Amino acid sequence: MLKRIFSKHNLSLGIVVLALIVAFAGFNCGPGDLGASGASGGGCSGSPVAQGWSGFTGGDGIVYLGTMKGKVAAIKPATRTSGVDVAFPGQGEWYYSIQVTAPASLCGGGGCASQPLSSPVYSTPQIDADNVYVATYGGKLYALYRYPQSATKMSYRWVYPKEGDPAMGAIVGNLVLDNGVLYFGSSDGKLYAITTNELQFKWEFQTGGKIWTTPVVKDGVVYVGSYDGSLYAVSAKDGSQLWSQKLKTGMASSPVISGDMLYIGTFDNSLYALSTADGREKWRVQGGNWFWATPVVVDDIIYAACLDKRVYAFDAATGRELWRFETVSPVPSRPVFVNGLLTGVSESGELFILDGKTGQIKNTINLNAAVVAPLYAEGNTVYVHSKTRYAYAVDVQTGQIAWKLSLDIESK
Amino acid sequence: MGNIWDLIILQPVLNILIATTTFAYHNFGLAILLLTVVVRVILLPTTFSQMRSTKAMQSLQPKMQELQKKYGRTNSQKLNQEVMKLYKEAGISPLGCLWPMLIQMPIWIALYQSIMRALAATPEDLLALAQNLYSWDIVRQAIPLNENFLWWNLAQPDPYMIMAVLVAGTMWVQQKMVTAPPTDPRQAQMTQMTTLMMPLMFGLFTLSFPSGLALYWIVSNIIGIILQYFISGGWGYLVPPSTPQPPSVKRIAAETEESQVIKSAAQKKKKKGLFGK
Repeated sequence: MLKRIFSKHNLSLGIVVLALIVAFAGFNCGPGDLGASGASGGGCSGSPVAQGWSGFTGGDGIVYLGTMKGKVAAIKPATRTSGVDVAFPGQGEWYYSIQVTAPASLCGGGGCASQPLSSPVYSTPQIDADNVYVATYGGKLYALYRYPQSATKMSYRWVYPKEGDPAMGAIVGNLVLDNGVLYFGSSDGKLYAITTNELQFKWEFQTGGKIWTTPVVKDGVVYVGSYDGSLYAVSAKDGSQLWSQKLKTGMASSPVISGDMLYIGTFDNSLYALSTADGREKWRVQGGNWFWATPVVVDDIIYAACLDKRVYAFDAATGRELWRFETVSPVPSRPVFVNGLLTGVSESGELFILDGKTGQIKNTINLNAAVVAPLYAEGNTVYVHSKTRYAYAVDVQTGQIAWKLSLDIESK
Repeated sequence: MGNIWDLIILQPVLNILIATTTFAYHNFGLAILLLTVVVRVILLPTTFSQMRSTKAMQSLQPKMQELQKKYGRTNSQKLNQEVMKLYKEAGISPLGCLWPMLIQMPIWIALYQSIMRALAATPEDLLALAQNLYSWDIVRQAIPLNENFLWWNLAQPDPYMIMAVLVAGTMWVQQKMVTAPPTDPRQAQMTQMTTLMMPLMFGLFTLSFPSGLALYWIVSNIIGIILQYFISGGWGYLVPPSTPQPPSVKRIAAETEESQVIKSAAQKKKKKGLFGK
């Protein structure tokens, strides 16, 4: 049979077979798939799929996160208890669907601009007294009412850039709020400073590569790492460059500051300790893969989760390794430190609770769900956003899942 | 299965591609270009074998058509037997143009997947990339790759549609060069459709795939055209003969060429085995 087919149409059929294999090998199809452009109308797209991995933030008994389906959800943990299935949104809870219109240039000439689109959210929302701020992969920054009148029929308060204006590049890192100004990086290589007052532009600072990490602000200086391999120190006042330090490669993790030192992971598997004064290297340690998660610094110890399936504890002053903990899979999520316990989760969903001083295991919980988003802690509860689109609340003292909630929220 | 594929085929190609970027002045577009050329050169023996088989098969077309006319409607079993006999006499394996393609296919798919993965267009892709990189300094220090090549962002679809036109155009030329116009009108229509549909399909894919992949398709097609040009000694079936020949002369010429190709294929088979290597 095969011989007959190939004898008749050998060449054309061969090309068809080859084309189909090539097409299927990389074609991503499915409703709501979001392309590399930052927004897409779903369906079939050759572009890789962006899904989002926003972490939680919280205050006043409510936690906020961006979902993988382009929504911002406000969840009230007090209304959710183990074993009781409370519909979302419950009392005091709400959600907002982010709808964007992608410029034609982002659709590869395919003409998706006229479709209503949703945009994934990687950036953890930020809050102040009245607003929830969220930045999207579609390159927009929204200010939402923190206490809306309706739980489902919401509109945004302000947006930057305004409707009709071109979007910024895709936003992946988190927002940093300092003295009424939001700082964040974008795929267009710019560090933005936008005031919380009606989301007015304050300044922007251009780097030579994408900024997919979160800046850090201290004493009027914004520090940010770029894909171009440089760490920049920029004046928070006017966006002027104070200094820059060229490292061997781009930044894999967001920087964190403790005292006069800044710690950052890079793509050459290194974790650097740099002076905040001028960026000079103090020490550097090498892991088996990228230090992707932002390190946590507590009591002069740096806790650094690594994609080499380990969590390390280093002396903050010298870089001396104090202990290491082996995990079952890479750890892309930022761990949290609660009451002397370091809680982290591996990509395959093994949540581990360690003694911060010794690295001894205290408890483990298998969530049976992939996790990439950073963890968030309030009191004894650690919040986890899984790739299976669930929110988990875990009590680190008891080692039990307090509740979980599906984030596949149906729009009403 | 996926892990075995990644370990044995994908990861080596991916890491070589990224390492090539370092040698290519940290220009990923140049690295795609270089590696596509290198892979094409490595696979030249299989390409030659495939082209020889294709040409030999095409040269049998007139005889095949005669057999089809003779047995096609009434006796398909006899037709099969006669076709197989014809292949045997000519020393051609009907799968001769399939095997080289099957050997090449994993390499091409790996190269294609490597380009997609190395570009790491989304944060998820970047995270996944970490698990596929060797611990070579030359690889680790090349990340993140420079996505800009000429006026294209290789991680994004080409908004100007230039790549789509180039992909479709080069693919059409390559196909047209090797596709003999069949004498049977029904088959001619089908061949014409295939020759037109495939480039159009790939042109459409290009509108939504990252430009890096389109660049690889274009380079690969151009190399294919060059090889075809030098192997078959010209533009093949792309350019129709400028001076029309009388049917009798045409027929004689075709038969002479045909008999030479069959004879040479049979001799090569005797000397060098199934694939003519």
